[in-house]
Amino acid sequence: MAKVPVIKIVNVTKKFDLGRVTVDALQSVNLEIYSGEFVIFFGPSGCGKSTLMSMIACLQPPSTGKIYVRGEDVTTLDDNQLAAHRRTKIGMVFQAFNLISSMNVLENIALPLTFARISRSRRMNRAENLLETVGMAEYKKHTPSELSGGQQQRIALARSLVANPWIVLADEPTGNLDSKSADEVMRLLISLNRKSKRTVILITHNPDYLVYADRVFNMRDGKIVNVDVNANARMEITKAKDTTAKSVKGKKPSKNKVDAESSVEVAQAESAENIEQPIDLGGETPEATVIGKEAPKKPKTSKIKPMRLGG
Amino acid sequence: MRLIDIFSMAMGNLRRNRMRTALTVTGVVVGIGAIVFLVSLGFGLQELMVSKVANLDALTVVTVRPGSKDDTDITAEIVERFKSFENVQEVSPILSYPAQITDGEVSSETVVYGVEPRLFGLEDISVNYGSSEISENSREAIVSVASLKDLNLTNPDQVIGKELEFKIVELDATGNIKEEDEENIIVFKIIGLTSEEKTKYAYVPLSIIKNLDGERYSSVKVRVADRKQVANVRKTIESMGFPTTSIKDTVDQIDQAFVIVKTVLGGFGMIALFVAAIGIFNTMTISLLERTHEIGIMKAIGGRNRDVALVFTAEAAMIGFLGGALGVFSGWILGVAIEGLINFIATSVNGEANSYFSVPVYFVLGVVGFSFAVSTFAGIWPARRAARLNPLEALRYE
Repeated sequence: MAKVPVIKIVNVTKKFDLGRVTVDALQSVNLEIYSGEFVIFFGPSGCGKSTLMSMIACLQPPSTGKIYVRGEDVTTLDDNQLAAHRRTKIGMVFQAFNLISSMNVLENIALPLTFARISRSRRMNRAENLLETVGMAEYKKHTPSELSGGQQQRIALARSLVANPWIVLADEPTGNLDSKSADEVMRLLISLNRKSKRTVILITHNPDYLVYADRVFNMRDGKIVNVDVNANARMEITKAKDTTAKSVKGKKPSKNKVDAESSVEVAQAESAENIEQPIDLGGETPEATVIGKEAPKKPKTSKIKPMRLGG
Repeated sequence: MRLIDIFSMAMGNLRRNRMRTALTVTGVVVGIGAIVFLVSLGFGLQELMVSKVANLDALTVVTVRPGSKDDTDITAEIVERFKSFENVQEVSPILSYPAQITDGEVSSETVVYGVEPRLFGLEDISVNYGSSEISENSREAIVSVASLKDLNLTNPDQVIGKELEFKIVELDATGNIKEEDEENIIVFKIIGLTSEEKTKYAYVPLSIIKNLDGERYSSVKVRVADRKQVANVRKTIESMGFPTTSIKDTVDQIDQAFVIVKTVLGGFGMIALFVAAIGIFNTMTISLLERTHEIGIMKAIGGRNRDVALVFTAEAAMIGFLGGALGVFSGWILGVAIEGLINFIATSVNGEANSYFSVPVYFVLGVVGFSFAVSTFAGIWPARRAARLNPLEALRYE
């Protein structure tokens, strides 16, 4: 793996002024995350991991320090540039799903593209493709309240991918889910990382997931206390598939004939070999050239031109 | 965001809380309806009043009087010059004298106007009884009811066809009554009667009284071909030293007075619209609080401040537009209903049916535009507040 830092955090601190007291949420954090890495921020509640992630997501600025995302210092961006950053560079998945209740599933997934001034037909097309990717094609007209937590989280994951970001940030995505749904969401996240070569940063409380991460940043009291490097992470995924495959066995394969577009879980259930088959998200996949052994035919997705998301 | 997406999102949000949207729109409908109803009453009364003062034809007629200087007498020569002016259609010289009408023992004062019968139409007189056609060289007269009041002749049937003795009073240059002359007593047959009760007048053929003093006319009426040229023709005539008047002066005064009337009436409606604007503001602010979390989501996944602000503003604007359109309709319907009721009552007691309400198209467009603008303005502050929400805090807000 090429050692290109996608995210570089330099001397970042964050203080919250709560009137009489000032809380140091982060104290002089330094880290680099490389392209294609699967990283977990791990630590007890209040250790600052969510704060750190929200700063990478440009949801709040650090008190001091610099945050570089693909070489760009995001602490100097104005409101519109921050919005563009959130829209195009990163995909965010939250514990609380954060879907908009008045919109149906497709509209929710397509919302970032709506902000990017993509035409309705193109964004709906894209959203439908992603809906199949997360295995929920038949739910496109449902509203979030009609779905289970696991289903909602898969929709949220599809939404985070709609603008084809390089980085996916997931803040305890399985925190509100039962174990079966949690496994499905994790499997999607892992395959995003392994097959589409997206950089994934995960916050979790669940130590079971640590084995999937290339590196685990252990955090406590606003500091990174140590970093576990897990050289065997890439093998763990195979085990993970074996255990989770059972839960999805027997599901009908997707009707979509485009191999590259077939649902991840189906692909995983069928054969361990297929684990290397990429999730194709339509359009310009980050580092698409390094995708695995089977070069996927993409007759459908070739129609979808790379979208300009500058808005 | 694209405009169509902004509007479809705004529409979706308005549909989500139908009851509240309907109530807010109703507020605007009441405000705009009140303005439309009251101002259209103003327009209607104005038109009604102008139509009572003058028919449209009369607006092209300019009355010219002799000037104060010696060379500004209206002579036959001057009349010919007026006729030669561009845009002048007809010129009707008039001789007027004070006169006494006698019927047996009783007599009444009036003013006799000698006009060319052919041009009697320029006088803007509507004859209510009898004929409005005076014949050339005949001893016929059209008089107002006011002229005959002192003679106790009020019944039209009694008056039409009756012959009355007119004693024309001639004044000399200094304004004194000239010596009485037998020739100044002329008997006219009344052929037409107007229901004018205040102004005393009697119209007779010019030729009959012309021989009394053929030199100078007391006034002359000039009809201009095009209403837009009236001002120019007046200017030309006035530059020659002749003062002019036109019914248009009166109409202008009426119009001016009605500007005030309409402003006051519209002002009452504005109060209602102001309350409606507060309603929109209130609705948008509550909506902002309810949707804070959602705004957080929108911003977290890449919505710009502007996108959020535009969706909010569009919601307020749509409330305004809808309220404006429905308000115009309801204000108009109310006017039609009340006018119908008044005319029904009026005609059932043998009164005259009139049009009391008038809604000009430009006024309708203006009011809808105004409602749109006021509502949009009311939505700006909540929209800006929504746009400036901190995304992270908004996401935490439940």
